[in-house]
Amino acid sequence: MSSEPASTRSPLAEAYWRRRADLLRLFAARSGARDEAEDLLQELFLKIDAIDAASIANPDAYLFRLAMNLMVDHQRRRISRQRRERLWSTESFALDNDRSSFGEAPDAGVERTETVMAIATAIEELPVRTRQAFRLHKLEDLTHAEVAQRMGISKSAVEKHIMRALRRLLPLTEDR
Amino acid sequence: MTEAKPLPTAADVRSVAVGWALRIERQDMDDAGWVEFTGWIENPDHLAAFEGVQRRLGLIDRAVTAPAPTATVAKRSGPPVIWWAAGGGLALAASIAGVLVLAARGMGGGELEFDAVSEARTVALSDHTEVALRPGSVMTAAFDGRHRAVKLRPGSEAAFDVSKDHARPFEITIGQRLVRVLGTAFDVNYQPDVTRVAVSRGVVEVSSPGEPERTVILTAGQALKIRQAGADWSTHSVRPENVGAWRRHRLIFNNQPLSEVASEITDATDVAVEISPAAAALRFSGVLKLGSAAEMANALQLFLPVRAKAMPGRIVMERRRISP
Repeated sequence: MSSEPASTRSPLAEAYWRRRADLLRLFAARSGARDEAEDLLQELFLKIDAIDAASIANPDAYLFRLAMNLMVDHQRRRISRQRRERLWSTESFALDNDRSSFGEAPDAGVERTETVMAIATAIEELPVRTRQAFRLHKLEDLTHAEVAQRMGISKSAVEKHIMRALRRLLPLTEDR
Repeated sequence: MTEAKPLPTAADVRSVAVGWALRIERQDMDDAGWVEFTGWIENPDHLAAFEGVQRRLGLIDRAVTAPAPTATVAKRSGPPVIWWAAGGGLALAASIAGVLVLAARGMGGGELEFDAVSEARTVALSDHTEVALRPGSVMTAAFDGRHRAVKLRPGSEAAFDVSKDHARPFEITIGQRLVRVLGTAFDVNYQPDVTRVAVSRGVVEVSSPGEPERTVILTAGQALKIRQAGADWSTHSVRPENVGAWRRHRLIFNNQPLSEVASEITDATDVAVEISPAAAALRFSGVLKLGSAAEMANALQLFLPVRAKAMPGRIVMERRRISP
């Protein structure tokens, strides 16, 4: 699909162009916004362009590692940015505003909003330490190691808390 | 020789997809894991399942920054109680109160005002913190995922029983000062001329954001008095049972020197009570009905060999001579 001649591409760039459509789908699913997914793909491309791909044994695996980490990092950055922006903001919290304030995809309707509210409630109901770990990680953009330090517990304990939170919250997101 | 293996169901695929997504979320998968994942996701069904899990994780991401809890005011007989709840919690709050629910959603950007006009009232906040407001008090509260912030207007007194939540410190702004707590019980009396913070359980930090060096940590049984005008911050001890005594309308003493009894009466009434040296060694055990300083000093005369004299702006207690 690209205009670039195949011979000049690194194996990593080959993998990128081959898996680009799949990655776009995943980025869009996670961020809920197509244009954000496109931006992320662009960021990914700039990253792989700067990498010396000669020593990479499995370009596809390497590409997915870069892409998925970028996606997870991006979500965390976005969450902590949104939190800063909305802290003490005086905007109305009416449900109708959710679309604009969350950057919700245009196809997301009221049901989606209700799901988000149900999850928000479930987060409140998590055990205190689990909720604390989950919030520090997601809201303050801290790595598991940083959360561990902040809470005075081991990194594996933090992982358990985060995994417990996600396992508890995921069922609420099932399509009905 | 080969046994027919049952084909994985959609549910199987989905649960494998969840497993992968959670491993990836941890961001510490090794090379072998990535090679295996890349192979797994070649399959279009697997890709679709994984895409579905990412969509669901995206919803959770959005929920993390979901708006501050919306508020409902539930009316019922007895003192009014305010329930804060997020989303699905609304229905729950309504059913507990069992009656009329007035939506107050989006009120002033998530800030709610509580006042106790002519009678004391107790407010239950969404985090199970209870605040008793003395008549004439006004408090505003703004909670979100990260903060629990309340403000008191001058002239207010409130006794707090704060629920523990280390992720969300409870902060009370009183004029230029900030009281910061993590699950504890204490009383804040914010008057135009003097502010008093007394702690009955846990630890409270009082600071003046403008003057970082002025930070006082109070533990149970300690009180801080701040004269608004000057730089006069002084701490003294209180009986934890007597913190927020105005709620129970009584002061309790257990074998305490008269000087401590006097200082608690002063705390409760803002009238200076002086003890003559001869009376200082007397001790008192008992319960005083909370009233004016003069009333309480008079009551003490019934229990101890003391005489209370009312002077302008203060009360002096002297040792009474036993008549021959």
